[in-house]
Amino acid sequence: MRIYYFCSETGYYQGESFLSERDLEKVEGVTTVAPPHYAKGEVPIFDVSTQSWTLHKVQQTDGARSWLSEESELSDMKDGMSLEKLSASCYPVENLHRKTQGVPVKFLAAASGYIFSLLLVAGATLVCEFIRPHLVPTNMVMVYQLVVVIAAVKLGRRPAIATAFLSVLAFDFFFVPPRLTFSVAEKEYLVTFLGFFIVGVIISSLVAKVREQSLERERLSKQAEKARILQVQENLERALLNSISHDFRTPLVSIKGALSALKDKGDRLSSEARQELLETASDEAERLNRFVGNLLDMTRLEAGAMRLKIEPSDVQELVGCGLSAMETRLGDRNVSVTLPPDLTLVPLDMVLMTQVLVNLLDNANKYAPAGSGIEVEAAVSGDWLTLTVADHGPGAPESDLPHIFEKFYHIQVPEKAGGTGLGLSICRGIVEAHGGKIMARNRAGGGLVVEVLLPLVARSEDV
Amino acid sequence: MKDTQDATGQHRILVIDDESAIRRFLHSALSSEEFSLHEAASGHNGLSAAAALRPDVILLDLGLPDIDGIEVIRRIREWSQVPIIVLSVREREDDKVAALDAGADDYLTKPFGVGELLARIRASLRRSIIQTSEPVFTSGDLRVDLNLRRVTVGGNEIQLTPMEYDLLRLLIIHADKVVTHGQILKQIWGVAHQEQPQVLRVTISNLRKKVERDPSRPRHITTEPGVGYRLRQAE
Repeated sequence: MRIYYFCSETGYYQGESFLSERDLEKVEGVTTVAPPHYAKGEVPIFDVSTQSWTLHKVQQTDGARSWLSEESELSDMKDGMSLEKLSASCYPVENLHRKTQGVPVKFLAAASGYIFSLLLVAGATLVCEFIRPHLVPTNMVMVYQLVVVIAAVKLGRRPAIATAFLSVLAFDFFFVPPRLTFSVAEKEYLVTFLGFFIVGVIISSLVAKVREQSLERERLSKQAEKARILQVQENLERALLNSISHDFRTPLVSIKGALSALKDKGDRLSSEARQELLETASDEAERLNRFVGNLLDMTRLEAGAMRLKIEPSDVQELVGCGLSAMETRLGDRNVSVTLPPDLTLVPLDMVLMTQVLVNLLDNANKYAPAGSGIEVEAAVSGDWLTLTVADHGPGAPESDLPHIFEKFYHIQVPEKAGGTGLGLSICRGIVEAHGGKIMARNRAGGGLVVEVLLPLVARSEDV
Repeated sequence: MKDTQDATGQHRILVIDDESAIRRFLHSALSSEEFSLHEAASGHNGLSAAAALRPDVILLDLGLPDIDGIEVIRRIREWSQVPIIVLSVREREDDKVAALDAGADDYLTKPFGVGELLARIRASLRRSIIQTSEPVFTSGDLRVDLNLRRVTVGGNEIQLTPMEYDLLRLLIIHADKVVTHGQILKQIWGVAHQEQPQVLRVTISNLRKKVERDPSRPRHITTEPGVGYRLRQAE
């Protein structure tokens, strides 16, 4: 199984080669596995074997070019990497990079801790200045003690000890008579200082310990989360494999069964039984062939290897091709075709769009009850051709509608339907490659309506 | 199909395919009183078998181990007009077009049924034996008198533009055989129009509206997506 890694605005993902970013979205738990900070010219790659990020040096490319997003440019950075593939939907690494660019992060983080403790002490001093007329200096120790605790919770042990030390100095300087000097008139204040400092250190240590424990817990739960993500992914891969092997095996079981029956005891079977076995084998071989075709289409779509051959095409001819390819499967089901009389030629790839229409008709044919009709319609609105295939089947639950174009997505269907879960996602792939859109809705009175929108003006790069 | 049988009885079919399982299947499916089957497992063997055997039909797999199938077609076409039916896998429309343009007569997409294969073989034999001088073409409700340039559908005469008629006539000459877009454009509109498939699409669309009962379900002029058109002759 190929693993690839990709990043998006929210972080880095890893995925098996069949998954698109959209697929990952629906997998619960696949969120961010945050990469470490990295410098210019480096790229973090998640290594599945060691379960950790490693930084890889890459050749610097110019400016804001999103070299992670272009597969063709991968060769530049592939040196020495076991990187198989990066998703085309990668977020430009340059943009991510900017977040940390040029900042010595660790030093700054450490320095900011001490600056914050200085501010805490200054704050405490101000508060004490306000209450000075009402309290004896010894009581101010409590205010300083408070900021030491805050520092311990927020900043950790060392900044907290620093806070305690600064507090002693501030307390001595501002409030212990003689004021505004570090000299001490009464010896017992030295005991106060010492006691305060020791208590401060103890509090710091205790609080820091608790803090570390909670950090540790967080780290452990992050690790558990990571393990869970891997588990989810593994389950998904297993589901994919199961689905594929099921779809391959089911027809093979029938074919092999039928053929072995004919081979072993063909002469003892009635001619009807022989005919039935032969028809089973033949139908199932046809189904297997379709599945292989679908799987090939899907793989080519995923790999971006599907080349469109866009030519001005006759929509009526397209409908004719789809109906002709579906002729045996549709049997005597009534398919009504409604086309505007003066439809212009539409730029499309006839072979691939025929495939789309065949898949949509096949879907309608599988889900709609026998005897009900299918309606195929085309219309032009604005700059778009709308091609609609509507059936009178059960439709899809509203919550499933947004997902039916996803790979291996099955809604609860009668056993005979037994699709591969690839047909509609291939449709989406092909339609989107045309710069078009595909969507589904339920219609009043029952039935699924799938709408394909194709631009009437081909995108310049496709022509 | 007695009318296509030559004096010696059997038609010789040469299969050029490197897959022994496919040769075996074709052998048992086609060998009969009507056909005798001969096999070649590579392009070179196929070329010498074609010269020695003088087959009536050649079934050619495009993916041969030694020479490109298209090259095999070209070399055979240097000296013979024997019908060549290409056996090709799905989704290689460009290969199919290249094979047809190189001189192949027809193609079948693997996997295919024997019925379909037999129909293609017989259509090829018919074309090679009966010359295209037949003045009247009939198929279902379509009747075209090539001498009088008269076209009737279900007994009613229909008016075609000169271009539509030329296109229909071209398809009739190659009845039951696929004619590529390039071949049609070259024959009807001349070399200059090779790159303008729109004209062809519109003319086909108009022709269908006149000769097809339901232009969305054409019975006479069928589309081979990505390859070309075929005029079906109902038996």
